[in-house]
Amino acid sequence: MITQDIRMSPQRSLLRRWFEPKSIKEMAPATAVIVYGLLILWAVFVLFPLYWLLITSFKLPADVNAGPVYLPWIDFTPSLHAWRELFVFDYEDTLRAYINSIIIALLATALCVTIGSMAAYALGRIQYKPKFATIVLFVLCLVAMAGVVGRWGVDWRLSLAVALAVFFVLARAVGRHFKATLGNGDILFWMISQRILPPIVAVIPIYMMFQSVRLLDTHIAQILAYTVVNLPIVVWLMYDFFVTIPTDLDESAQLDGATRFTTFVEIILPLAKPGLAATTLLVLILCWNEYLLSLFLSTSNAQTMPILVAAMNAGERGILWWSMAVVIIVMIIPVVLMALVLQRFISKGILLGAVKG
Amino acid sequence: MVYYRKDILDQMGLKPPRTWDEYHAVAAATNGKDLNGDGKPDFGSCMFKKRNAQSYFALMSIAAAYVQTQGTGEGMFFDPATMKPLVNNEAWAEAFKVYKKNGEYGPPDELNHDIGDTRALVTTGRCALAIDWGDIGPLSLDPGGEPIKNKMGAIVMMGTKNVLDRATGKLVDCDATRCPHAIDGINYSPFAAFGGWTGGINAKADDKVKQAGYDFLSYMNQAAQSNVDVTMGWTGYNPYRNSQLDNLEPWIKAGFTEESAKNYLGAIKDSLNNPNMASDLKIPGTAEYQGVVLDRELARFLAGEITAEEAVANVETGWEEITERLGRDKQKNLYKSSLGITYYGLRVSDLRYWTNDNSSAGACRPGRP
Amino acid sequence: MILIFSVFPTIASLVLAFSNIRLRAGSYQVQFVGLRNFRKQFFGTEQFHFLGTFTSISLLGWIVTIASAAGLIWWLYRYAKRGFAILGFIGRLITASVGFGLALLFSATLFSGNPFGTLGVTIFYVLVGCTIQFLIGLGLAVLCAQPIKGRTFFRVVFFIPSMITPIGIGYSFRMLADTTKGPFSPVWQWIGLGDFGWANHAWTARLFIVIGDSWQWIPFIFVILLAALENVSRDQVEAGQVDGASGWQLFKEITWPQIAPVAATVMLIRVIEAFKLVDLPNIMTSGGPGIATESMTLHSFFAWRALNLGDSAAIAYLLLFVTVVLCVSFFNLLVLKRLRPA
Repeated sequence: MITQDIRMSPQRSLLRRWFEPKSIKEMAPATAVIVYGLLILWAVFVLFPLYWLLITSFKLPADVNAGPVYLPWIDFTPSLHAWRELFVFDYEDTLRAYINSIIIALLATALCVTIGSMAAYALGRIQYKPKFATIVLFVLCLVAMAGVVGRWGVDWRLSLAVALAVFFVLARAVGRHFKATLGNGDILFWMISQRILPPIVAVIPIYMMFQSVRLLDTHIAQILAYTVVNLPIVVWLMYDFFVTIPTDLDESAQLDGATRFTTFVEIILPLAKPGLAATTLLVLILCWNEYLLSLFLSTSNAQTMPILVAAMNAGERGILWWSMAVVIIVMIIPVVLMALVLQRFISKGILLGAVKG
Repeated sequence: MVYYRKDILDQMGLKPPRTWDEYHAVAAATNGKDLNGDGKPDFGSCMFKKRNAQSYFALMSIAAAYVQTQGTGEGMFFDPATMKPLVNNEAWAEAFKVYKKNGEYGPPDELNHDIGDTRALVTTGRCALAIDWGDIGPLSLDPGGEPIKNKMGAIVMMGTKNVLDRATGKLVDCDATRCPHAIDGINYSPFAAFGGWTGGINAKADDKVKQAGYDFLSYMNQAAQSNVDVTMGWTGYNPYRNSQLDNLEPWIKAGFTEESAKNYLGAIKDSLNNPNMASDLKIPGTAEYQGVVLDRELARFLAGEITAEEAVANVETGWEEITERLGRDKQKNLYKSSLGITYYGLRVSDLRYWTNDNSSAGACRPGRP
Repeated sequence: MILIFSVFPTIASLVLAFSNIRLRAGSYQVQFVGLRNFRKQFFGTEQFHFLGTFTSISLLGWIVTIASAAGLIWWLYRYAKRGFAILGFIGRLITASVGFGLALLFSATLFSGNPFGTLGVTIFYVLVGCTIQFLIGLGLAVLCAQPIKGRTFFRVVFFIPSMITPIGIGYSFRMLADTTKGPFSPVWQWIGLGDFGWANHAWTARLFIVIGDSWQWIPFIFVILLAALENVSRDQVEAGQVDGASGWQLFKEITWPQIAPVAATVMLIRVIEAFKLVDLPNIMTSGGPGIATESMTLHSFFAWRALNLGDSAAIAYLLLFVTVVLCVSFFNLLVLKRLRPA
């Protein structure tokens, strides 16, 4: 942080004290001022909307509509009416949505992270070479099957069997002639491309799928749907974290007689903890906040919190800002707790450096 | 309906407006004055103009008087003989312009106001004039409506002295044959925006569920329940039964003075009983005709991207495309029957699906998206 | 299972994109209409909506178009000269033609003073939004990786915005940005903008949406980059410090190469999500004023809501195409080349 001309200047000793760190573990005082200044500035930017939500939840409709008021007890009298409405009058609905959200988000995250990190590990360590032609063929068979079912109303089980049979017969023949293969990179990309299509167009087919298996308005439907939707993110992020872990560790573990699975669970996962924690947190949040899928897959029993937020825009009364603020605040609390728990693991990443070195 | 601040207008010696010119004059006179005593300047006119919300209902309410003169059966959207849109003409273009001009006397960010924002302004006493469904009346009685309680007057939607000549697409002056329903030379056409609330029960539901659904709808609409509900603004219900419109007592109990109750219910009755009341579109694709095409062109016009003439031309093209896609003959027949023009080849089942309940036309509601 | 989940909706919506679908009592009826839904977006009545309004292209527009065309041709030529692989060339050809198409699009709209269509708006959100978010997110991560007091506090606080459901953020920002009853309205009046509604002007409205989007997504980038920074080997940094390297040098030579792969991934995910931006414009402005803040997903959503599933799916596929081409091009050609110099 020190430049040539500062060194030359007469006030060198004073400047030096301000601009040079006392030790490697600490910052120079001037840097510290800038760093803390920026951090606090950003914290204000982040916290102000939250503060506004919090005070809005204690405002009467008239306080919200008339113009801005900022400080409770000073320029308006706080009222618990919105909290009371949601937790006394409508507590059944609020509580049900809350519990649904917790169950669905936790289970979907757990599933997603488990499957996703294993898949990412596998992709990071094993080279897959699926034949390009085979995949095309598989998709073609499925399309043909869907076409047959849709067009002539053939029983779908029958056509599935036929389609699979045709696929296996042709797959061998095709495999001999077309040699182009895909690598792990392509699989990864295919995975992420699943997230590109706007969910709006995919949501009707998904709805019809769950309708046909009679799983609408159940937890299972939403858990499955969220898992699939968020899987690509887990695979992508975890893949990058696993790649940074040297393969020597795997090899030495395997020399000691560990299977691939035990290597993964006992050696690699603990090392990837910061990444795992960050990813888990993200997926948890994505599941927690998923709106569109929940809107379609649930009617009343399995309804989640985001639906409740949207419901606070009650057409004729306008937006119930106060109630909406309550729901949003209540929704943030559990995630903040989770973040507090998980962020400890993120900081422990420092240990990783030691292991690597 | 148009709502005005009776106290303010009386104080300034202004009469409630009857045409858009008069409306603009009143709005101009009141804009920038402090209307609710908080020391801050308020607005002459409040209108919801947000895209993808309720703006096109306001536009159609303005357009109706310019387009429809011969009574409810005439219709204001299409030519019933050819299903050609009746929109690319001076009348609709004028409605676009009037709607935009109101903004000169409104809040600066009116373009982003939906009906909730507008109602928040009206109930806190910040607007001298506003248009709305029947909600402002009961909303003024709700907690939070104190600033305007018994201070609002209601009148039928503004009329006009010049109307559309369907042969030429030009605006021409009213006369006895052209505007048979005109009052003092002013043609009114109260628009039944949104048609009304309709209850529906899934035909494939269990019998028990059907019965429960029916019982619920019946319960909600019994006089004992609904006559109280309509006096509360937050229910979203507007008066729709004769007993609710004629009987002042529940309204007075809810907080109206007799004068206010008479004025409010009178304006609703005037709208409903007008022989030239305009009916909302009730054919398949309405959501697209209005909510996508009309709404979008209106928003572009309000944002200054296109002129009113370009907007109505675009609406015509867009509507023709929808009609073609859904089948011109089918659409034409449904449009005719929705206006009460009999057509025998139509199956009754088609009608049952698409016709709204017209009995609650006064209680027109904005829809939940 | 995953295959079914991902393949079935994709195919079903692809079918929709080429058809005119009508829902009827208890069933639906699909009529195949070929490319009509797509043609409408490019040349038909939806052109202004999807691509933007074209009247005439200004001089500046032509200069940009010609310059980008020349640039792309030179780039293709260089590739062909250096080593020619048919797949690589086809890939680059697609990239180049999409690039040229976009250059033409921006010349005809932005540089000629004509309004954007939803495609242009979407790309604006992605480019501007993601750049801002990446820079601030990275900055915050670097700051938080310093030896500061109250790390936990700052980390958790910085992360909170991403915990709020996107609809909630949409409504919160609508409340905050309200110039008649929002918290900043006195400030707004004070700086003399009392009669200025941000929602009335295309660029200010877009800017507000980018701000809301950034508020929500910077934490995402921040957390992942922070985790990556924590993984950076301390020894090397300390060795660098002992050697007297400046902070910037340390970052550039030691830290950045180690976090770059994660940064690339996080940006890829972010870009993909940014292409799908829908909640904020829908709630804050409903795509207004006019169509100035309407993203492609919102465009698709409006069509979908009026049960015009064909148009809706067609727009979604166009979005898919643009996203895939841009992402693949960007990452294959720029990022991967830098990261793995083979």
